[in-house]
Amino acid sequence: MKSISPKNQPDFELMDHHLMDVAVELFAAYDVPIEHCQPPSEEGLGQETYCMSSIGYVGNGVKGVLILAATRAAAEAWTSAAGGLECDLVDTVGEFSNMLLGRLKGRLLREGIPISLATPMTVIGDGLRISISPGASSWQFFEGPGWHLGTRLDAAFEPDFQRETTPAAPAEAGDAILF
Amino acid sequence: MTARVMVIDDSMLVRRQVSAALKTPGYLVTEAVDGVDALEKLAGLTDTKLIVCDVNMPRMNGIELLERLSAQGSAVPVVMLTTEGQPELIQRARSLGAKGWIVKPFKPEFLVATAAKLAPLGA
Repeated sequence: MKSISPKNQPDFELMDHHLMDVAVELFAAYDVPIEHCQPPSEEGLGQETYCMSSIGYVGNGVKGVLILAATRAAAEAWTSAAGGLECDLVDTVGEFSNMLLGRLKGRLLREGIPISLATPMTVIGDGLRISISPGASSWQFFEGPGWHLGTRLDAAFEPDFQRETTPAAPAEAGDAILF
Repeated sequence: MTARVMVIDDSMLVRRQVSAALKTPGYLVTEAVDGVDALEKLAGLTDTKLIVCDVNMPRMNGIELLERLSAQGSAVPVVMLTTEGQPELIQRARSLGAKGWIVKPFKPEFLVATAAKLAPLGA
């Protein structure tokens, strides 16, 4: 994990911790068990990286990007699990990154860190690499049945960043509300 | 008798999931990729009985589409289907006339029950 101001270190660790939780939750919702693991290689997913989706976010005094990286086997497994056999892998990885950040957004709202999300940008190809983040950044890796995925959370905090003191309670994944 | 539902989402995966869920009980489903596409298609599909709409989309998002539909005086019920759960967004959608809010990933039976309530087959 890249070093950041000591003042914001706990906030970033909180965000990253929630991201690890919601990743496991999201795939469990599709009956795809994943477990947090060590990087599969010294370069993370390394040459196995086939799809990457990034979504920007911005809040009060914080902004950054969530990146979801997957091997081809992972993207194919998710597409199958979601019943989207006719769908392309780019679309699947983009939607899973969207759901992942959506869940993280709900968790952060409860922690007094409201954020707004952009739409996903997804690329596909062999041996994808991404640049180093200018702010705080953390990779986490997960192992599924025969494949790996990685998440990278980037965050840049403004000096006046503060968590809100009256956090809101968001609707949760799977909730259905009729007005 | 069937009823037409328009599904609006920039993700093909979600459009296919929603379509599959709603076609099973007998709904006709039309897909749109964002708010702009939806408005164009709605203009030619006056038999649409229900709209299922994402929030975060390029070109025109779901809240902007609700604003447009509200300004047009549309009576077609809209259910938002999104990863978002922020109370302010839900309240904003409600104030613009949305009839429901479902957070992804959705349970097909919830979606079908919602459709049956707002756009019953055979009505």
